[in-house]
Amino acid sequence: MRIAAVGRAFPAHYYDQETLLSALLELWGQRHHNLGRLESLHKNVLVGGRHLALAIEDYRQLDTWGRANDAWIRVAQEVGEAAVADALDRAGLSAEKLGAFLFVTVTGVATPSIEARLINRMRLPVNLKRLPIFGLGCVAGAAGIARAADYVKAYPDQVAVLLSVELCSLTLQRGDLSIPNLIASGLFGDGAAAVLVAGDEVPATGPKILATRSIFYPESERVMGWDISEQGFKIVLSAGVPEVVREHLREDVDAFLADRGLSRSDIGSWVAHPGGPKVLEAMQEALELPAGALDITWRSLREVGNLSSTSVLLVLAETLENHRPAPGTLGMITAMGPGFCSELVLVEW
Amino acid sequence: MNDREILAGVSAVAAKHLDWQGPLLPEMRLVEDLRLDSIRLLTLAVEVENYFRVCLDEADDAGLATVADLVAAVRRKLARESP
Repeated sequence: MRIAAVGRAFPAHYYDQETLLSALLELWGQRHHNLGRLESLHKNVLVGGRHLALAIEDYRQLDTWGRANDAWIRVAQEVGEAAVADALDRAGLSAEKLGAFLFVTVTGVATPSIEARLINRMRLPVNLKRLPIFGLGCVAGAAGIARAADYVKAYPDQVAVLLSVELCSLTLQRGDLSIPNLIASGLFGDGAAAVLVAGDEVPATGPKILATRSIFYPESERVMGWDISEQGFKIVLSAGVPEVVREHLREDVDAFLADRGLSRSDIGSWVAHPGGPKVLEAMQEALELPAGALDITWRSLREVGNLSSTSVLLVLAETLENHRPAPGTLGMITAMGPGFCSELVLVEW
Repeated sequence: MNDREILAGVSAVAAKHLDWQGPLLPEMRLVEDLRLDSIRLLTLAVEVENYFRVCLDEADDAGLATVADLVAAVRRKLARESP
């Protein structure tokens, strides 16, 4: 099983953090007495700019969840199509080779789901096995690769496509002045990524998937997630994420690697979900990573923000395209998300 | 505004924004007794600022160990900002 290609796509609208902050200060200035707090929160996430699904002035019209979700369905198809086409193009593969289509998101809802609509838009094979997955959140990029690998393990002559679309800006609750929402308003961005996972009988040159592992942390449901309000998705975010990393990640990674006779020192490449500065610092510390091991992850956070499940796939795409490790290098793809849970993918470059 | 009035305001904020049930006492520790993590601590600070229309020094947040510390910080700010 190999990762044959990773495609990327972003909405056309990109704004630097100062522009986004100005718009939010205008929105929330009446209610918050100390606007310096909002500025500090936005600076502390170390994001330089983000793509948005819509032009900034068009968000005013999204005064109901229905209108926001309609915009989500429209833009999700646009960036989803572009990401899948980019992946197929990079792999030099025809869509006829696809056997399964996994679609992951946590930022909008649609029935028929987005991959069904893309079968129409892109004239994809009508026998594609569709698997829309909602709710895994940030972990879904890594978990999606793992589930696609499970599929091609069963069907080694096929290719599974994983599409992640996250349009976080369309979930922003303008009336929610809670600190988690203020942090989210500075951290999360929009975009899509598609990964082609090829079975052993399909020629491909990307990293080989050696093993995957899912880890669930019992009784941690309120660490991160959504509550659903009349206005849509309302963010649940506790300060517990770095703690979970510090408490569990090293032990989980070590146990996963030990089962294959490996240790952390054997891993030469880390593709990690850029959850945020505190999470990445905790990860570097917990895994005792060498300096620079997460540079591509940090850069992705700075350039486009946290795109939930899409983010780890963007880091993977950048690693594959511009920082490909030497052949034979062992690598880890890691992400965490609501549950709370982790997904680990061991690859050989 | 005296400390008792400020404490009443802080209590109202804690009840509304942190779902704190029961009385808030000056000696209560924010982390250990109120079980505030960094996000909830920030929520308390921001909503206290909104309630009293003051700006606390962010650098001082880390020095707020108890409810009494927070009340004192608000008192100092109100004294400084009153005409």
